[in-house]
Amino acid sequence: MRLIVKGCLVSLAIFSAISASSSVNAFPEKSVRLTVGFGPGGPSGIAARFMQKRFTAVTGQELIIINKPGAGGAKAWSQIKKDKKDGYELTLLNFPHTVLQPIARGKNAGYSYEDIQPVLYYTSVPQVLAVRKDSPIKTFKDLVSAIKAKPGSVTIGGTGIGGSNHSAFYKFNKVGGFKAAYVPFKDTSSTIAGLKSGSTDAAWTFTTQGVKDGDSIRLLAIASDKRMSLFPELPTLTELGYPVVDVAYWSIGVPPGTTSNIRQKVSDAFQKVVNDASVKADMSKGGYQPILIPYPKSNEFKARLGKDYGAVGKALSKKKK
Amino acid sequence: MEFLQHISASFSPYILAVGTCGLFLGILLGALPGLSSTFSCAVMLPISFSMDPVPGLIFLGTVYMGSTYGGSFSAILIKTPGTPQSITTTFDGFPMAKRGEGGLALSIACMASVIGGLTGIFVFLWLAPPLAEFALMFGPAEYFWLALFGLTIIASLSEGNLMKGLISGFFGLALSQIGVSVVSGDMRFTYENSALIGGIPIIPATIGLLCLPVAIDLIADADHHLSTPLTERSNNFLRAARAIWDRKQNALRSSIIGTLVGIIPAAGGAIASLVAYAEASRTAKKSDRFGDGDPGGIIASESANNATVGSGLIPTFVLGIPGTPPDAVILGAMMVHGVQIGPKLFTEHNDIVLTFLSGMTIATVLMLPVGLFLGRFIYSAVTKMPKSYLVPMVALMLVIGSFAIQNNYHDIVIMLVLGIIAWVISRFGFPAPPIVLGLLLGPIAEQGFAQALMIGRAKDSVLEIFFARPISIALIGCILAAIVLPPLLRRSSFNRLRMKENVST
Repeated sequence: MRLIVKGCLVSLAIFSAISASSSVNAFPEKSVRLTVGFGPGGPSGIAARFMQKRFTAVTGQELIIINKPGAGGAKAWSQIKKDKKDGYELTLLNFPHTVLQPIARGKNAGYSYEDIQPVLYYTSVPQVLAVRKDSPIKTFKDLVSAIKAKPGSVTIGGTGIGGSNHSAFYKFNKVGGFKAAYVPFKDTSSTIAGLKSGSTDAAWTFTTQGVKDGDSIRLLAIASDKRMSLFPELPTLTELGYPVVDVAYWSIGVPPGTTSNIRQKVSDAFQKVVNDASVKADMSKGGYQPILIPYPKSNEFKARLGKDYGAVGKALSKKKK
Repeated sequence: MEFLQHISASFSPYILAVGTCGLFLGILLGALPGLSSTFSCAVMLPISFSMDPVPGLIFLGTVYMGSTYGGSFSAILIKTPGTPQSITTTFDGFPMAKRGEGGLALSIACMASVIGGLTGIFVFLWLAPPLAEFALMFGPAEYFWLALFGLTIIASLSEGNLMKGLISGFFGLALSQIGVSVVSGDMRFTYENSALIGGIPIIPATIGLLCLPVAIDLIADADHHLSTPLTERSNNFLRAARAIWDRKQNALRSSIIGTLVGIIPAAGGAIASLVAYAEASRTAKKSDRFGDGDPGGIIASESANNATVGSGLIPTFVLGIPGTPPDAVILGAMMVHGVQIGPKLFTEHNDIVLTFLSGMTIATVLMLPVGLFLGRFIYSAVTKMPKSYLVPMVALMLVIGSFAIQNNYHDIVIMLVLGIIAWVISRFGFPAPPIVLGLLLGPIAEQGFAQALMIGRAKDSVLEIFFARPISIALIGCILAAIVLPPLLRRSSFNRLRMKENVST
């Protein structure tokens, strides 16, 4: 047993050695906890880790990331309201998930739209339509004609029900008047595995997968307002005549009831981290689109997303019944 | 040979130090109930960021390998799987410890882990690109059948009273329904209670179901926790080696099963050890006593779960699809480190792969001395410790283990409630392990079934998708064999109560 204790002490020592650089900022004065509603290796987990890599160097304190996967992120978000409002207990917020879930799930969601308080939107990923590299569907046109040839027979994978992939699927079908079969998977890597194994014909996923899995999947179209510099050849859906824009955003979130003074401090501190050149470069290389919407502008942006996705959320939850 | 050159190059003090540290930390974290391999790797991520990409990956890989093996310590000594991969190790490991052969059980676990671990790594080394294709043969229907095959192990765990075993299994399946349904998005049985939104978390549930009853019995019985060692401990090395040599077929088969299951995306070590255990107990000789302290059970479980470590990295490196849950963390680390994955890694950056695998090979071999040393130390600590110290310590570990991963108070409550249920029903002969199996395999079976049904309906080929694909047919064959063969083979042999340990410990 003494060995276990020793082992713990050793790892503690390693941790403290890492965090032992001097701090001059008013915030943070101690380590900051960031809860993530998804596993450590998915797009959300990685979005958080990008900051962790440079957080200590920039702020002098440690960023502790806690992965609390479950219920499409809701397990973590349902506990935000219990967190301390001192700026040291933060949660990574996914959009549009945090808008769509309270609508679709009602009281069972575990949290409400008001519990979601973003203070710094810092990165985003546009969604893409992807197929397997050796799929008979070569182009976006092929996909559209396959869908039209036999409505309901083309299977399109995506992560979960009522998340961003599902929302893009719904919007795209609505704009094009299409009928296809949506096959939900439990996380992004399962969605991609389903695509690569040929279980689904196509998938709604994120540009991050286009970078990671570029060897084995082909992107057909991107649901952003303009082309992305990482994929200059990839047309937007709007260009192709199907005006669908569906981008997933990440924001640092504080518990409801946090003072505006603390919100500002959290926003400022994290802004310094994500403005670090290497963090930005890492994110861009990984297929993320860094953005910067600090407090108090973050409130307006949330309201805008709430409005944009309100109708989609209602439609998705109605469709189910 | 290129690999041998890399091995000798990897004998740099730095790589050795990184590998040994990773192994040591991994074993300790893995041995603590509740701290899973995924968690151990995630906790060590920040440290790996401070290293160069390849040593960083070796560090994470060895943490993973160490924690997969470390889980067997608590599985054997206190019937609590340190990690979910070791659930099956408890079935035979704890009965062995109970009758005074804990030291032997730990040595067997260590050697089996090294054998499995090396198998997985060597398969990666020589067969990665072709085997990655195997990962792509697994569609929703195959996951469904695989989960069903895993569930057939309930039969071998509850011989003597199959009905009670099945009832336990169905209770586990029912528990697995709680929370958000992946395929329909519905909230099931949550009663607007935010603690239940994410479903019943597997780790606190496993701790509660398997270990809390042991802890309660520790208090209730006047006897010592484990019988005093039967033999001189110094013999354990040779005895363990002989036990494995006598069951080399089992070790080999389980390592191969572990390797194959590891390649299947998201299946992981827990399922690998279940499948290997099911196979081992199905093909067991009459004289074997699976579920009652048979060394073969430990060999199957530990060689299979460590084999997934290396083989799970095959789809991770080649396809960018994590083979096992901790591989998702390693994949994330590779992204943050800027290591580009995919087939190119094997052609253009082959030295990264070879150096990584050499480091892993060395660390896995080191696991033998490190593991045997730690095993002997911890075993004597647990057997000599008076109950008045052991019980509070176990109780504390149960609570911390349930709480640590997600910092959720709910999880402690879930652990306690399920543990008390398990203790009460075990008085009436209902075994707890099938509940864990149901909880673990229920979601895989359900998602696979529903997805296959959706795809089958869209393509007008529901029957084909379930029954006409080669791997599905093979799995259905295994399921039928597992259900039909054992009763036929054992009808003549004497009946033993397989659940004895659950009833009377």
